[in-house]
Amino acid sequence: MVKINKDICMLCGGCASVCPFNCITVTEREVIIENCRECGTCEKFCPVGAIE
Amino acid sequence: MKKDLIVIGAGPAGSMAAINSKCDTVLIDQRAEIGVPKQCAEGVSESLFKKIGIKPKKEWISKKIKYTSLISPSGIEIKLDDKRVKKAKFGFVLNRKNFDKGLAEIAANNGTELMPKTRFIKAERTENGVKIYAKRFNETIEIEGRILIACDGVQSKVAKSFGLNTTLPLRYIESCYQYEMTNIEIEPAVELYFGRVYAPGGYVWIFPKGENSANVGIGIVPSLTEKRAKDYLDDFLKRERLKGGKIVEINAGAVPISTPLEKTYADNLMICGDAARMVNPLTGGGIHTACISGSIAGKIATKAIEKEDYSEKFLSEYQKLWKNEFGKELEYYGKAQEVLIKLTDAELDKIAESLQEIKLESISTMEILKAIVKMNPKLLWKLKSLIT
Repeated sequence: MVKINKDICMLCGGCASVCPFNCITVTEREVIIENCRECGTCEKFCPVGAIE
Repeated sequence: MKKDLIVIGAGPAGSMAAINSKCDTVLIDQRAEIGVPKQCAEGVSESLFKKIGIKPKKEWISKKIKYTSLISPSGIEIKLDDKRVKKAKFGFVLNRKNFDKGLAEIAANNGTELMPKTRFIKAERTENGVKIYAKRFNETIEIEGRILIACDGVQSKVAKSFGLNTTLPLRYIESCYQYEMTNIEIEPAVELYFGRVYAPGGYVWIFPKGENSANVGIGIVPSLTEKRAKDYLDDFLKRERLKGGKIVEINAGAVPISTPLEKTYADNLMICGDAARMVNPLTGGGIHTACISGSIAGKIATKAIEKEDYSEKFLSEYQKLWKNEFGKELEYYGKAQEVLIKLTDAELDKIAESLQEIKLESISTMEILKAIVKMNPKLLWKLKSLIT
C-alpha cells in the first residue's frame, strides 16, 4: 500500500481523482486508502510529492 | 430527513444549482467552512455575473484586470491590452472564499437547507428516488430525495458511487500548486508563462489579488515530467521579480483537462462542474462552466419534481442545455489542446514572434486561438481545420 507523508500532504484530493481503482478518499483531515493495488498513479500525480 | 432535491458540494456549481431550484432542497458540503481551502487561481471573464444573473458583491472581487500578458519560453511577451483588443474587457480576479460563501448564502436565503461539515459517504437508489448516507460530526445521517445533483468536484465520489467511471488518466489532469504571495510588484494584469521550461503541459500564472499581492501558481501534466508541480514553481520563484515575495498561503489541487463526461445524467442524477469534467482544457478555467451547468441542473430538477418524472430520459434535457451553452467550445479547446501540448519550446517562441502585431476583437481563448492559426498556418495546420 502507498504511504502518505502527512507532514507534506496538502489534502488537495487530487490523488483521489486519479486513482484508477477508486481506492482513495480525501476528507478535510485525512487521506483514507482502501484496497490499494500499488499502481503508482497517485504518487505520480501528487503536486507536492507526499506519496511514497 | 426527506427532501425533493439533494445537492452535494457547495462550490459554485452546487450553490448555483440550489439557487436555481424551486423545490425543497438540501445542500451539503464536507467542509466546515465553505470556500476554504481555496483551490483556484480565481480568474474569471467579465461576462460571468451577467451570464448567471447574479449581482456581484464588492467583497467577491479582488482585482479588476486591465490587460493580459502571454510570455513565451524565451521571454517574448505578448501584451494584450486596450490597444490590441477592441472590446477591452479583461475580467476579474475573484476572492473565491467570499464568492463561494456568498453564493451559498444566497442559496440558504432562498430556502435551501445548508449543511456544512457533512461528508457524503454513499448513495443508493430507492423505489422512487435516492438515499444518501453522510457523516455529520459523529453521526451518520440519511437523506432521502427524488433527485441528486453531484457537484463534488474533481474527486467525484458521488458519480463513482453510481457506478460511473469518472477517473482521469494522468495525461488529462493538471497537477496544480500555488502560492498567494505578498510584497511583490504587480501589474493589474493576468500573466501567463508558457513552455516546458516553466510548466510541461500547462503554464505558470500570476494573477493579481491586491496592491502588492498575487496568486502565483502552476499547472503541469504529470505524465510529461518526473518533477513535481511544487518543484517547478519553486524554481520560478527564484526570478528577480519575485525574490522579495513573501508567501501568505499555499494551495494545491487537481484540474481536469479532458472534455466533459460523455453522459452527465442518469435516473435521479445530474453531474455538474468539475465533477463532470466541465473545464476549458486549454486554460483550466472552470468557474463559468460550473456556474452555468449548476444553474441548468437546478432548473431541470425543479421541472422534474413538478412533473414527478426523475427518469434518465427526462433529465437528458440537462445535457442538451449545457451542451448548447458551452459543449462545442470545450470540444474545440480539447482538440486544440491535443495539438498545443505537443509543441516544443522553440515552436512556442516562434508562435510568440508571429503574434507581435496581434489584434483581437475581444479577449477569449477562441479569439487568441484563431489569431495563432492565422499567423502560423503551417505550424498549426491541424488546428486550422478545427476552428475555421
